[in-house]
Amino acid sequence: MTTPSRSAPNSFEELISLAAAKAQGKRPSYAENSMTDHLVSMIAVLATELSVARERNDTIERLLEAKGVLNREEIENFIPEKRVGRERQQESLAFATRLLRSLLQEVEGLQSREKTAEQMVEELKS
Amino acid sequence: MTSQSSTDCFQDAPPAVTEADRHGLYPDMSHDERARLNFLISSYRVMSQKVAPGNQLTFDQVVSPAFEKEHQRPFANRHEVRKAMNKNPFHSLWGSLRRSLMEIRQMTGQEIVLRQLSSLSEKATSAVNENSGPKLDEKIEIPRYISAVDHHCMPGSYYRELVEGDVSPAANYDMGLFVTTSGSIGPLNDGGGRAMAHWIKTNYPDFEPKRILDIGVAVGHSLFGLAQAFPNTQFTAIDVAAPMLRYAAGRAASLGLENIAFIQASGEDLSQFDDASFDIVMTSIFLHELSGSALPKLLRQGYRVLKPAGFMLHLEQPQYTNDMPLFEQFIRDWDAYNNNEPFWSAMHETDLLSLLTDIGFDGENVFTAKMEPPTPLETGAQAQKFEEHGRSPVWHAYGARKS
Repeated sequence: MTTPSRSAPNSFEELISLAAAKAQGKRPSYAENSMTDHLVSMIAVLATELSVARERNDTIERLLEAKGVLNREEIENFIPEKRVGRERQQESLAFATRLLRSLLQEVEGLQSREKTAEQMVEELKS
Repeated sequence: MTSQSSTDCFQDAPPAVTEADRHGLYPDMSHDERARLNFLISSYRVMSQKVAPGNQLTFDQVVSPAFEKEHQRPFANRHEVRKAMNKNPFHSLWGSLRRSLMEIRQMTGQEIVLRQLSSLSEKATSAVNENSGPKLDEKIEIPRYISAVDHHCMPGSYYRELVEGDVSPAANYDMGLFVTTSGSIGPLNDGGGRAMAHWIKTNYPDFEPKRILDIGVAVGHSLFGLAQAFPNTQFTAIDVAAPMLRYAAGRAASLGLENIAFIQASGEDLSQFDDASFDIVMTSIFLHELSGSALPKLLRQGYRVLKPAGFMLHLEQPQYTNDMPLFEQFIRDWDAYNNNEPFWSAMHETDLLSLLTDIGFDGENVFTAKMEPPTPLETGAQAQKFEEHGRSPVWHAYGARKS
């Protein structure tokens, strides 16, 4: 195939699929386990979107400041009341727990000396 | 374009995509699309300046000593280096991430241009008149060396047409060039052309080219730097891809450049041009996208249409010579194996100066030159301080003057 037999996208779903289409030419592998390459790619995408969210937040702050709604220095100097501080920390703890979930669960599994799924299948046969 | 004072504490930061010169054909972007490209610009900067040096370090400290211990000899060539480096975890992760960034760059650009396919092609059509529009050839065949893989991981490559008058591959390429070079080749990506023009004017102040042929013009990024520097010269710009020519013509018109004719043609067939009809025949970072058989064919055609005392000039990465360290050869070769540039490797081991002599130039009239723009590029302040192999604001050129 020399010319991709594609046409203009007719829906947003088609547009996104076409935008995500693979370039012609076999993709090289990097890590010994190809899943690691996928993880690298996903992390790079997530980092991009995190940066986008931060930039959008910055835009909002600057627009609000320009309209006199807030003063960004107040954001820098914001010291939450104790209760608010704890409320926010609760959120950051939840985030850290979500982020580290798979590692935490691995430790949990080691602690309870869990059997593998294969072992359970065998065990519950009878 | 922004002017930066010496007290500006952000002057070392990479440029935002909004610093790219937004000519009439530049695609519209939403806030988050710009933010995505901004992040990619920064990531490319950090990857090339801060992370890539780890490849050399890991080669020197780990990979090279381990190879010498095992084989009782140093590396013999860049291919041995590549095979050993590909097993190194640091280099693998760097490569995996760099490839991913290129793919994210492409997807981001595709999303931007695909949602405005029709308006982009309308902009290109309305920017030109019957004189300034491209002269297209429907019968042209896309050569195998372009159709075999999508260069730089661009889905659809240079030539895909989804709607009539499509320019989307070019719009994507134009904005992408600014992103992947972190702005280091200027707001119009025209640093190469500005560098070449400066080199000509400095070294041959009396040389007044009447006609210049650019083969493989793409979006005109390099050529426009020359066209602005030589306003009285007539330029002919050819390419095999119609979307590129439509976009380049519209872009030229929107920038007020009226001295360029855009023609759909292959550099391998310049039969429509007379012998000795151009003062300069040039290419810009293009020869590596040909093939082993197409390269000499194109050079021969170029020689034929060149006037006596005229120059042939090719901006390209330097050749892998025996005095280039093997690590440098290997890292410069990365794009061949990882960025869909299959001729890159063979092209850069070709002795181009000998080839130029073979096709007719006198041995004493072939040369290499280092070309730099007259002033630091507006968006490349920080980038001037380093040279990343293969992506830098200093251009290497192969040249020859016809007797």
